[in-house]
Amino acid sequence: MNKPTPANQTQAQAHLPVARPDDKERAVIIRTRNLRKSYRMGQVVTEALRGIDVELYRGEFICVMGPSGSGKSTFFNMVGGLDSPTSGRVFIDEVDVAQLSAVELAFLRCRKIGYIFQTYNLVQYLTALENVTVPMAFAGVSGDEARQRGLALLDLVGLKERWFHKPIEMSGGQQQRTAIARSMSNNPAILLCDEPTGNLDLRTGSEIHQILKRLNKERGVTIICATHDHRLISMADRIMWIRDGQVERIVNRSEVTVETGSIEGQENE
Amino acid sequence: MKTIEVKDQVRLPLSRCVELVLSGVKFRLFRASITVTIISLAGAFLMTILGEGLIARRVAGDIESHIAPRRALSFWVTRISVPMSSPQLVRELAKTQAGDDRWREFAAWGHLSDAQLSQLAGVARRQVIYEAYFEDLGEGQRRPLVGRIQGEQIFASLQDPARLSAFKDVLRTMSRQLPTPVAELETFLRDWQAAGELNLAILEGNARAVEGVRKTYTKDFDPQLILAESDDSLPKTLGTMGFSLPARDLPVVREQAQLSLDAKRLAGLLSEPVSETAAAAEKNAGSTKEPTDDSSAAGARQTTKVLVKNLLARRLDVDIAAVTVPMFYQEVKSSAGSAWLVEQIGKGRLGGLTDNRIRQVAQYALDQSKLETVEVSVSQVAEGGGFMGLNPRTLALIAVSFFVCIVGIANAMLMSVTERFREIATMKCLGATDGFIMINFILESIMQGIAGGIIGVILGFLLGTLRAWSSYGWMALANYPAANLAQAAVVALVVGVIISAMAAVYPAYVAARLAPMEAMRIE
Ligand SMILES: Nc1ncnc2c1ncn2[C@@H]1O[C@H](COP(=O)(O)OP(=O)(O)OP(=O)(O)O)[C@@H](O)[C@H]1O
Ligand SMILES: [Mg+2]
Repeated sequence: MNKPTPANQTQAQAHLPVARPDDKERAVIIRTRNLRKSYRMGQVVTEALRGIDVELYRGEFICVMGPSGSGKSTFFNMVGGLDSPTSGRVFIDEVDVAQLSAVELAFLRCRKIGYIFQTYNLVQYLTALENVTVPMAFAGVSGDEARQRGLALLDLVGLKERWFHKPIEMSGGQQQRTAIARSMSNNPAILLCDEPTGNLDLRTGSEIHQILKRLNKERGVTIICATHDHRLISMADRIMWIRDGQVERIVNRSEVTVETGSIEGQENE
Repeated sequence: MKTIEVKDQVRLPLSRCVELVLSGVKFRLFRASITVTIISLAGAFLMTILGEGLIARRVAGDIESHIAPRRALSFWVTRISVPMSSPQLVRELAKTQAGDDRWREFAAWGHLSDAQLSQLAGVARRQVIYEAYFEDLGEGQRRPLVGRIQGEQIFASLQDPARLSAFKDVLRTMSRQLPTPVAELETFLRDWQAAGELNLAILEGNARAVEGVRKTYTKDFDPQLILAESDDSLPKTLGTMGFSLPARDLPVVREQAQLSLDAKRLAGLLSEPVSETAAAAEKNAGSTKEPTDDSSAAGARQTTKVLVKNLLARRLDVDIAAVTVPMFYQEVKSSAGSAWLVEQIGKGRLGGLTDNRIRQVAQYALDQSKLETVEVSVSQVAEGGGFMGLNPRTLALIAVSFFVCIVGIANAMLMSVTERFREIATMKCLGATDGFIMINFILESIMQGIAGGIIGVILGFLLGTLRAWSSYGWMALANYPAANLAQAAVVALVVGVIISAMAAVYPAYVAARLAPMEAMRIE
């Protein structure tokens, strides 16, 4: 399955090992083909992604690492169907995202993918429960059923008692837990987390990590997570390094010892 | 390659959208209230103008129905007692149509054929146009053109070729030109000259006719009396002198003349002396509380003569110098007042003025003065035609105010969109379609439009009524066009909603086009 065409292969990828999960039977859920993205700002063209070929498997927990500006967020935008690449392809569940109409994209975002943002992005004027049920409404679930499911999800993240709180009345960790509950509201196959604990202190961050871990283990959700936090990395199945818009390497966690400092790929140079 | 089956991608029901928007609006109450204020101002503006105009036109219609008979009376009083002046003849000629009453009068007085008369009418119509032009010029422009003279004198002086060529020279330098080419003015001047003689014939005929009336009704000649006491032979009698008073108009004119005469008689009663009995004096004295010379004399059980005016002063508890005729009318307009008057003067001496008639006449006399004050102000507002009775100027003003309003709302909405970039983008990440975002913003604006519209309509309704009331007083309320005002309210409300929906289109489009990846961005 792992067969990038030689023409597309960059030098870096040719030399560096691309690990595959231990369980070789796993299905591919996200596949990218020579994914490129450049931003033009006036005369300056920034190449944020320069040919990314990866395959991510159903049910795996993969951490994406890389220095600031390396293109992690850009990669997430492409993979999450939030933006279209300059060239190259993204397949989600074997569906070519570029071929989708606006409505189909909305459908995809609504049911296939859950998003967790560094800044939580809860709707400020809605309560925790209402926030969680918004995506359900877009999926046609409303009324009592939505309420029951929303409360169950809030229970999952330990916020059942606070369902009526507005974001203003919650701590950062509580907001992020609400955001996780929201991201799970339509049982997505994929959770995209862009630095989910970037704004949180260590303790609160750990709670979030545990929740993500549980979702991955108990519900089999594929979790793709950009982070610098070694505790989160130690939970991952695989770790992917991005540098200058290219995949530097992908390793199974079992192949690296996760210790602060040593894991940072860019420090190994 | 696989595709996504979107058949079961649902649309959010409208009720859910409204719910969402409402909680959003509640959250951003301050900005929403600004938009609502803008809309309500526009709505109030529109409603004030519509409401005031509607009331004014209703009042104008009402006044017209009150005034037309009075106008007929004053026309005929003057017609049969005062010879026409030349400018008056021109005005009437310009308005006359072949075969109508004035036409027949002029034909009879001037011994003119229809062809001659229509020639005269044509000249008169042109004369009115030119006179209006000179009138409009204003002193500064008119002086160099024609000097100090006015009206007919201008046309007389322009008969002089030297004057005419000087006139044309000055005219060429002027910004405001004649309403017609100069050549037509010259034609007119010739026609005017020719018409002079025939006009004079009409005026002379008219003067003879007036003299004829005077001779026919010799004993103390009073045109009002002639009309009031006329029987159905009057049109015929006047007809022999050339006057054309249609038989169907006679009853109206006669009734008006009688009312007018009775009003004068009623006013005259004020200075009527009546004998005051001791009992009445005592009763009256009791009401004044202050003993006066009159009452002490009455106390001596003598019968004295006092004027009705004095009694009225006592009755109203005012100084005798302050008693006015309208006060008297006002008093006897009521049944208590008229009964009092009959009692004071005695049926015998009232000569036909029953207390019913007294009330009617008093009301008539009071209306007269009110009508006079209101007529002028109404005639200005009421003349507007076009859409809902608005003149083009007002329409333009409304259009500009709406444009400003749309820009204002659009700006507020755009700011709201910018503020909510992250929220909108997040919604799109959660599965919102462009259409949903767009509908959301337009719904928000429409809801603000409804709120602002209702507030504006109520404000404008009150304001318009108040303004109409201050201009026309009691007549505004007596002629309240409730149904039309309700229509205007609906129009103002609908316009408010349309405006806000229109203003929201662009901001909503901007919001809908926002890329969902904006949600990822960190400031
Ligand atoms: N919308 C944009 N317009 C122009 N340039 C952009 C845009 N988004 C990203 N870039 C550029 O693309 C490059 C990659 O950015 P990206 O946000 O993907 O980095 P990142 O790995 O997420 O960094 P960080 O760890 O700081 O979040 C950067 O050089 C950035 O300046
Ligand atoms: Mg980033």
